[in-house]
Amino acid sequence: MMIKLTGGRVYDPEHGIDGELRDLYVQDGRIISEPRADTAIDKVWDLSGRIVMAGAIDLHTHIGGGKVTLARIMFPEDHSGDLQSATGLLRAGCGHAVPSTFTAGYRYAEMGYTACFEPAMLLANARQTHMELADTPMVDKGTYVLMGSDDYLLRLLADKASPEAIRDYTAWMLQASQSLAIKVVNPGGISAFKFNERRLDLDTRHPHYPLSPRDILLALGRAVTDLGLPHPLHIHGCNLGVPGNVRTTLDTIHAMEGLRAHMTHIQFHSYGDEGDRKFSSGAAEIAEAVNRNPNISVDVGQVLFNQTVTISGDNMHQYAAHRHADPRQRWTVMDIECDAGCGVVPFRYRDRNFVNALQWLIGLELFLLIDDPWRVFLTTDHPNGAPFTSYPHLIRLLMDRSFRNDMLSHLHQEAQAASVLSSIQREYSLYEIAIMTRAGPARSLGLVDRGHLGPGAAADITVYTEREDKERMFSSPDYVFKDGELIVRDGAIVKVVQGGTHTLRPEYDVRGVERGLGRYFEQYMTLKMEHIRVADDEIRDGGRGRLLVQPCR
Amino acid sequence: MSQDSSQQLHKDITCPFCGLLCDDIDVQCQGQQLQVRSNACAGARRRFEAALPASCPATVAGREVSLEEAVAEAGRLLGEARAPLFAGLGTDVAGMRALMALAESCGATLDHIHSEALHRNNLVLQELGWLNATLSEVRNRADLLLFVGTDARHFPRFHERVLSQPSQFGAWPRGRTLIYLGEDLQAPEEPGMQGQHVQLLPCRQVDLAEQLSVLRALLAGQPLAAGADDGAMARLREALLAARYGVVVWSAGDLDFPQAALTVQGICELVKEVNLHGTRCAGFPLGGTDGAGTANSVCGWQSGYPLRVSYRQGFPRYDIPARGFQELLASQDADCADCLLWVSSFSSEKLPPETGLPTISLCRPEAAGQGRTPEVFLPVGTPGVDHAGQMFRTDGVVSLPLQQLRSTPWPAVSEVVRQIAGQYQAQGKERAAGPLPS
Repeated sequence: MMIKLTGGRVYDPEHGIDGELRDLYVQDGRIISEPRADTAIDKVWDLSGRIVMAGAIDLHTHIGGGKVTLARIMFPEDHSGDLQSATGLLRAGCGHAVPSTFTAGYRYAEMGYTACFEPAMLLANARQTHMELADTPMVDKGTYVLMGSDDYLLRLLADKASPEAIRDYTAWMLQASQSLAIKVVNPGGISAFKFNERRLDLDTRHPHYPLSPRDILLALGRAVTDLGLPHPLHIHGCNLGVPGNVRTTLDTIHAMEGLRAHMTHIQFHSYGDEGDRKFSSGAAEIAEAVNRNPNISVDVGQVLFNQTVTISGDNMHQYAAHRHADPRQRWTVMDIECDAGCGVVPFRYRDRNFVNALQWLIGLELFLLIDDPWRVFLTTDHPNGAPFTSYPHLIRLLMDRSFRNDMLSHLHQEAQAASVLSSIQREYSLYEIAIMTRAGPARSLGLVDRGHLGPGAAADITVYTEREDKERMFSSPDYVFKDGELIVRDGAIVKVVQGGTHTLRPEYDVRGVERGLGRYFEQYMTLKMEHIRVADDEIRDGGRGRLLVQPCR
Repeated sequence: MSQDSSQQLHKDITCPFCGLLCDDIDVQCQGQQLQVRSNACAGARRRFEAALPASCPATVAGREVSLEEAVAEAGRLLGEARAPLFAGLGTDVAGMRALMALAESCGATLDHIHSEALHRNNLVLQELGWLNATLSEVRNRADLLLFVGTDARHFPRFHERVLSQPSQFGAWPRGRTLIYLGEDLQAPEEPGMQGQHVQLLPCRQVDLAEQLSVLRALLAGQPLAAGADDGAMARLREALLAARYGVVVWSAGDLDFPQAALTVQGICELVKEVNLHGTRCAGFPLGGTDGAGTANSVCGWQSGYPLRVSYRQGFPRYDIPARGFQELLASQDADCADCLLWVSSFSSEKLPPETGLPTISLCRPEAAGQGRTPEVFLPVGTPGVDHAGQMFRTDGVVSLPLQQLRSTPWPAVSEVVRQIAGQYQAQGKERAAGPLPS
């Protein structure tokens, strides 16, 4: 099957193409170079006057796994306004902050996204996460396995295990859980909460192990580097949401000692404690540090005003956040399997609330003060800052200064006064949006054949009509192609497809790891090491799923 | 291990018969007969070793038919039904996925055989949430276990698996404390119990909620009415606060009386409140038998709601409090239920409830000929015995792979349901036939 997409204005930052008229050729699901003139073309799409980008990639979205399903079950009212009946094409389900699996896949595709990454999968919950992602159609998927409070790692570090042993155990975690990257959440803090600590700073000693979060971060950062994993250590740092945590975040950036690191939902880690209310923006300092340190990338975790549910592996800070639960009194926290934890707390961001308004402002300041769009990615930490369905609105805030200032004028007055946002002139260009939603995430994750439109890339392609109203433009693409097949037309699904699962296969000493780890499971765990591993065939699921193995560096 | 697949020792297989999913069981297979070599509890041993009938064909109205004929009749019955009810739901992840897809197609209501117990916990999650731990955390951290309304007798290896192993955070020099608050509770007698401090606090099950309020009032420093506590709750308060990591165990299935969700709520409130008093505490729910947790989780991620869910109107609908399958059947109201599809692949004892409605029974072959003759009987295999699969453990977090131990002619629930769905859709009567999992 040979397809030609002709006449579109192409934004392909990986190849430096900035809105140039280009023809694209697709053969059997892949983009190819222009074929010989006598090659038969099976189908021509005339894209004259339209905008062409690669399929968008969300590198941080909580769409699958135990904590998401806990949230689904806990908040029936979240779905009640957005119920979906089965059609001849689509499965039934529901939308909003914690949509059902099928509906999440449909909604992403309808916005032109073709890949989503669940960023906080526990090894103990890996099987469930992959089962849920298998029930999430349309998009390719991937996961980051959570480390840093797993007792086996902390024991290795406390016993002064060699960097090779840490590296090999890290590789084992990645492979056993079928992940693409390593995530650390509140390093050591999830474990410390189980020992009754309610706070653990970067250089505070863990209550049980002779370690600090700094030690854990550095060990994992080195392991990720030594293994040649494409994506840097994905860091949810200490002190999420705590006023004054801007200092912790700056210290964490320096603690990485030049190693590559991705600081996730950095908006929640950019709070000062100045002013009458002891809450202020630390965005300028963080942006300056990101600008100065090319080893650092971030995603923002933008807050938008509405009811949502916060879902995190950070049991310690979710426990602390239960005091702000809205609606009140309904929150869940779990200590999980000497491995990690989780917490689910509902929250409503209000534009007339000083703190919430400033959170919104801080997120946008970060987007606009960080210079390099290759190192800042568009997220709301779905659903923690806002549901992913609000991305088009967020894009408009970034691209349209007058719209942004109009929104700003409705916020809590003191919050407006505490921010420099209204003075920032910058507007993102389409090229920059294509970087931060396509080329940047693909490059950061090491997806060599995604996020761009060059020969060899998977033909994941989104086509828009350019509109003044960027929210409208990005809400409803004209066409979305997945692996060369048309799946969305005019913002509605026309074909249901099943994506693959991105993984890595780093080389390491499997037997060496399993000798010690198998003994540990026998002595202390309540299941066998062999049974916690997710097998390749579980991902393939009789042909329904497929493994997309990406190369290590 | 023998190379002959008809005679094989399977080591470290996962037991699917209760929510603990013990995965250290050795089973010898000789032909179709299984013999447990080690580690299974008595109930699991009985189920693994149950003798199979020599043959067990599908039946329609009691008449032996081919699988295809039975499937066709099941599809026809669902095609005629306006309000199909899928109940029992004793199956694995794949079986539940297939049932969800079929339920969407034909507008069915879904309810698990243990959904009264599921509902008690789900209601509390939706009112309050909880602060819970998983099984390995309990084994390694709990220096105090407070059992409320249960002694875990339906989970026979719970004590062994929690107590008989060391903690990775150091030994328990003074033993652990086990307190049983409830009616007719007993501490098991087994090796792991030696050296532990056991206390029994007898209390009628229906009075547990009140005792929990007394305990919570003491915790909050509120004044009590005279005689509200004979000192037992005051001592329990001290024990919870003195523990490094207390764990409160409950089993919603053992809290079987009206308004029992309030007892579960009291437990979950208590756990949360202890954490406000300078120490740690977590809850631990026992359940998940007959795939209850599995069905609830799959329903949760696919529909957005826990059981019980109905697709009568096309979209998933969750009513609080929804009526259980027993009530729907008892109502004899054809608008509520006019056809029953019953699934029980773990136990031959859990037969379809007696009803005058057309009944499609997907049960173990040993159930053939028992009880009222269903319109359609389709014998199915057991996940983790006759075919591979996946199930969720009682803590709702860990799921385990199940292995196939022997070769039998009985298909998996997922396979039979997919075939029924194919027949149903072939009639062209579907309201909205979504693509089925392949």
